[in-house]
Amino acid sequence: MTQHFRATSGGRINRRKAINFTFNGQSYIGYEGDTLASALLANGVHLLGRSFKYHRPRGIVAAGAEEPNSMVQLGEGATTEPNIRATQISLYEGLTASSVNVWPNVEFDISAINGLFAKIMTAGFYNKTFMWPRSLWMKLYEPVIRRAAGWGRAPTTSDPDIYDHMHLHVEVMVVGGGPAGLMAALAAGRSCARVLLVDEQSEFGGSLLSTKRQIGGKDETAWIADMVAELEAMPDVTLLRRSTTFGYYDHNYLCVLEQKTDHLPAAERKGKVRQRVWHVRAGQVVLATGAHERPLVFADNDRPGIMLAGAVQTYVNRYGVLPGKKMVLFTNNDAAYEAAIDLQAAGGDVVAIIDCRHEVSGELVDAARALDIEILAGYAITGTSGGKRVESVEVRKIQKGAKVYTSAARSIDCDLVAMSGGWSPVVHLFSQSQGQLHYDEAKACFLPGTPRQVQQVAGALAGQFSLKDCLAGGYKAGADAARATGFTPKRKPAAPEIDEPDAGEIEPFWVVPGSRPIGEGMAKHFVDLQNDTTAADIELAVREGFESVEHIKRYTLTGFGTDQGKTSNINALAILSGILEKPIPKIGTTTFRPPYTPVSYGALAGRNLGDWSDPVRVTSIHDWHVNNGALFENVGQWKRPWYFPKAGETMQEALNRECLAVRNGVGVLDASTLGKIDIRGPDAAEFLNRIYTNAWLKLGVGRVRYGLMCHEDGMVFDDGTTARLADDRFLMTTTTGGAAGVLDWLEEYLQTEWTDLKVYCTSVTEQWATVSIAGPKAGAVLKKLAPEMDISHENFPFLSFKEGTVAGLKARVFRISFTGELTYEINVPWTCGQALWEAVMAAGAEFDITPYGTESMHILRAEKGFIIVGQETDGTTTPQDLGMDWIVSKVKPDFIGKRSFTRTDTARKDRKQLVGLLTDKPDDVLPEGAQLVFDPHAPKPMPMAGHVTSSYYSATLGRSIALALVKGGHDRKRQKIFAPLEGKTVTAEIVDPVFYDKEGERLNG
Amino acid sequence: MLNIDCPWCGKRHETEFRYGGEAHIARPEDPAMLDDTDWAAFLFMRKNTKGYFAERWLHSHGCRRWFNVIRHTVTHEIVGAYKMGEKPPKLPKPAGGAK
Amino acid sequence: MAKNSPWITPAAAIARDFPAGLTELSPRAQVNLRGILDESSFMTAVKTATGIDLPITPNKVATGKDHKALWLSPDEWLLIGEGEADALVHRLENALTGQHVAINDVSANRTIFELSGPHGHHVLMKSSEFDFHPRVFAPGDCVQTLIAKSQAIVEQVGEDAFHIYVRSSFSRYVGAWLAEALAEYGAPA
Repeated sequence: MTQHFRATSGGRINRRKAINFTFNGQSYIGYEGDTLASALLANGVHLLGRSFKYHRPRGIVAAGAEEPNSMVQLGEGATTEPNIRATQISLYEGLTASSVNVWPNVEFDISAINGLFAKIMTAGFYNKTFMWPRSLWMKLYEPVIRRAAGWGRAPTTSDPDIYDHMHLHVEVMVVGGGPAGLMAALAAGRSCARVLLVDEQSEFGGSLLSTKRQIGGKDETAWIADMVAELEAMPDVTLLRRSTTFGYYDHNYLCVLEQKTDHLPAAERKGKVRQRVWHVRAGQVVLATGAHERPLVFADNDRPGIMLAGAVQTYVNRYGVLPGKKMVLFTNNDAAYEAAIDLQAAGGDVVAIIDCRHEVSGELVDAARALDIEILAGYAITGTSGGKRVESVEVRKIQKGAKVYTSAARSIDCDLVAMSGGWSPVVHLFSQSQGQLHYDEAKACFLPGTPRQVQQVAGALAGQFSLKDCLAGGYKAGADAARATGFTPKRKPAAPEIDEPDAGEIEPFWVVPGSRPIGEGMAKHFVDLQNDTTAADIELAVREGFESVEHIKRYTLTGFGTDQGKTSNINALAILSGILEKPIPKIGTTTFRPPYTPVSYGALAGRNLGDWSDPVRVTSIHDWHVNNGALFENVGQWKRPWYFPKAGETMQEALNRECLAVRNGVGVLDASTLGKIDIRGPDAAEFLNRIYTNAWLKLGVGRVRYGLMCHEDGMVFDDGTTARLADDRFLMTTTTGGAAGVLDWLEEYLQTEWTDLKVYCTSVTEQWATVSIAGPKAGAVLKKLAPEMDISHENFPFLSFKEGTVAGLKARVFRISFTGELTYEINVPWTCGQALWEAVMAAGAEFDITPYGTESMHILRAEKGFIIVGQETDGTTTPQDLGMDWIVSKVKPDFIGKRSFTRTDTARKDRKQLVGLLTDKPDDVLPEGAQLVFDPHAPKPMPMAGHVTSSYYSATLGRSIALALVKGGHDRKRQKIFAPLEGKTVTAEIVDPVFYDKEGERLNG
Repeated sequence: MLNIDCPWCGKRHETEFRYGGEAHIARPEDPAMLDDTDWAAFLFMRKNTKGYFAERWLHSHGCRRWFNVIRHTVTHEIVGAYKMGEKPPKLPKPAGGAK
Repeated sequence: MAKNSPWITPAAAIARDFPAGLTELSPRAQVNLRGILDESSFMTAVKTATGIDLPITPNKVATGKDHKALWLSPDEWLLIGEGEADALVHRLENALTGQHVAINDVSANRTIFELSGPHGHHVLMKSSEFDFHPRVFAPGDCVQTLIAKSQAIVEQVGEDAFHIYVRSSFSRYVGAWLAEALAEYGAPA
């Protein structure tokens, strides 16, 4: 197939470089510089897909991001992407694409029969029809609707491409590289400010890529090239092409999606970053985002071959393509005449210009007349015909204000209809930045009003529709932005001589009636082509009581979808304005939210994937654990060994072995993850006295104490042991997950409440690796490692510490216990952790020393009834609830949490309190989190009595044990409680939470 | 994303900070003297301002200083940041749209 | 006194495979110092012990003959020197006796990566929201910020050279992240 619709010359394409591509299985040829849309049009392909609801044939409407129709499935396999706009796909060798929303194919689509039922598929159709019976929704309605209405297919395998993020700080960010944006960047760049210029196209130039202009004696191509060359020579100006600014967030934080390899053949993409999201913080932002042309809303305005006039001009001038050879232009403004003039100049034939204004005059009108183009002023298109391509239009003389035109119809044959309803500035980013819009009656569009952020607007966005105004406005915006960030712009250059036609006037014409009232008959006046929303749907929505534009949007779907209503929003609200007889400003717009165009999840994730989705923290002994078969548990961001299974062992067998080793011999645990804070100063003891619930002033140097921290509301939030290193110095340990929060908490009190206290806190968590050896043989192991250390119980009692040499390493040894057994926690510098661990393993070999992980640690401490903050507590648990009144000072006048212990709520008798549970059947292990009830026969919903917080099989005890928070539990010892589980109810007895060695006799080995 | 002016380090991205809620809520000198209602007011009652709001931030990944910020809860405009113990800056007239 | 050896740097296992432009430095003495800036006796004593005038401007580095000091907060500095920290800790403790200070050997608490070469800036742009542009950040500057999602101190030590101080437990995450960020620029992996 050859490119029958390629103009013989012209365009910014490279005709020497032919590119092969495939669409819907058919091979075509385009040129370098084409988009998929322009290449298809060059090959005479207009029919690209079927519409969302009625499955009507649809073609290319626009030439850029605003395209509502031509969504395609791009590529195959893992890299396939659904619903990409053909107008924004740069053509590359080997590109394959296909239509979406067609079955079995675009030429013959079964669901087109929906068109026959169109009468009942009006606004709210799905809501109304498939509401009842509810049970059928999931099973039947939704899957069928999804298949019929679904757009493309998501890839089913993971995305192999590379994405990343880049952070950039600039004084001035310019969004949009058209004439205004280029001038703004130039003005700011010349002031030496750091500048970022972003444009979504493959080359800068914006509207100048589609129009022919002379600027200061140069043609537009030379002018753009000179501008870009000067900008590129500036070291602190960054230029991003193929880059869409998709989000404008607080404090001038903007996100840009740069497509780095999407325009390259597959072979050239390998190993490269495919897309990069730029996170930009800008001192000032210049928005020069241009304007989108609006379609006209007339009967059957959706056939392939009916396009925006500006798009026709773009295809002709930028791509050297004739979208049709016999064109009718339908317009309400002068500017669109240029499309007709350009098409004619490129070899097409303009058969008529239908202008809905009764009186037309001006430079462009005269130019069209000079080309002998017939101009029908005061006429409108009231119908179209054609199957998969428009073949003719029906035109009638307009009867002003009439709901139905009874004037004589005339039919005009054509293969292309260009339409223009005027221009809507691309206010999306401005609105995202919370700027207010105002409606300009003369220009018939919404314009940026009061901004919320430090920014400038320029070009068509600011209503500067002529090139002359764009250049002047752009320069001023750039210079103002630079000045506002402390830079001095160079003197403004003289305005260049510009050769451009006068754009003339516009007369809004929001919806064109036909020979029958809108909504009657088969004709459809489409407002939102992507969502198949018609003018009649909006009328219906109003009749059904919807008036707010936000409600209309949701009920009719106008403005949803991948195009977010770029071509439909303004027409929709203008039509609504007409129906409600309220002025357009009173209707307002819907909310513009990021992203401006869709962004893939891959790009949003960047490199924060897999292992990097969150930092993985490891101890210095991690490699040993890995090499010795540990399975790991995530504790906060840490990887902690969970248990160390031996070959052939089940998890429970491994846990039994590990726990029994600790109870009968010696076990070893990597406890390096505990938070460690050095607390120093003359008021350190007083500070701890206020932070912890128990007393600290009299703790002797060399001694260690367990402490519980509460928030002011009296709820437990961390616990740990703290050692007194010196009179004025303590080493606090915190829970693994709570370390950062506790330090922030301590600093908050020191910096904001008790500023008179002389205390410094320093985090030393990763200064110290901690190896904990526990069990009756722990002393024997330590003796071998530290022969010079006196570890007799008299000289190294429980809850004390010693400094010395362990395994030849400078160490601190703490005698504390989380297992109930004799335990030594040996601390050495982090970087020596693995050396210490290996020494411990070697010294312990004769005692069969057994590494154990967090799961065995949990079992061992549960046997002793020791809590884990975050497991036995959930932010609503007081020390009293935990039965830990013994650690709450009755003497101290004040400490954090104290006052709350006497609040009526915390003093309630029926609070959930910590108890032990023993199931009637010793082999039943309750699931953690299981809800508990006092009466398993109570009618549903049963009153809840509490829940299981910890539950294990204890090898030491030869049965299951559990901890639970139970309402009034402390007074319910020996009572039965029930856990209704799926399929069975487990009965348990409420007991004391200490299951093992209640007297603590084992602490000394 | 907010750009927060740490009184020591200057403007930094929000991700370096931790939010600390409403500012200028002093812990009562002697909590034992407060009845349940007053104590509950201190614990739980916070303003829900639409407009300029004094709030506490911690430069948690930076200099670890707690400080105060006046932020407009609708526009996110930050009027100023000030150290603990310093007086808040003068408030501008309410910005457009928010009262 | 027992020696802290063998010293295994936290990222050693992955640092062998780092591309050119990224290395994990050998251990050096790191001491965290807190004290009251307003008390002139404090500054004088620190100068006596280290030869350094502590930087009082936020996020600046003061360099002396044997040591340098990084500003961390209005009352906190990180002192860096070659060799073991014990000697430095003792000198400081002796010089500052009786003053309200906190002196902690944190040599093992963080490891130090050196990022150098023409793409160092790009790697930082990929990894941090902080503005490392030469107009804003130059040799003699340091900053505490996030590298990827880990807290870090970044110090510029030369025109194209940065030291990145990372908490030991995060060092593999950060090291692997930086290495991968460099890969785009064709450095041999």
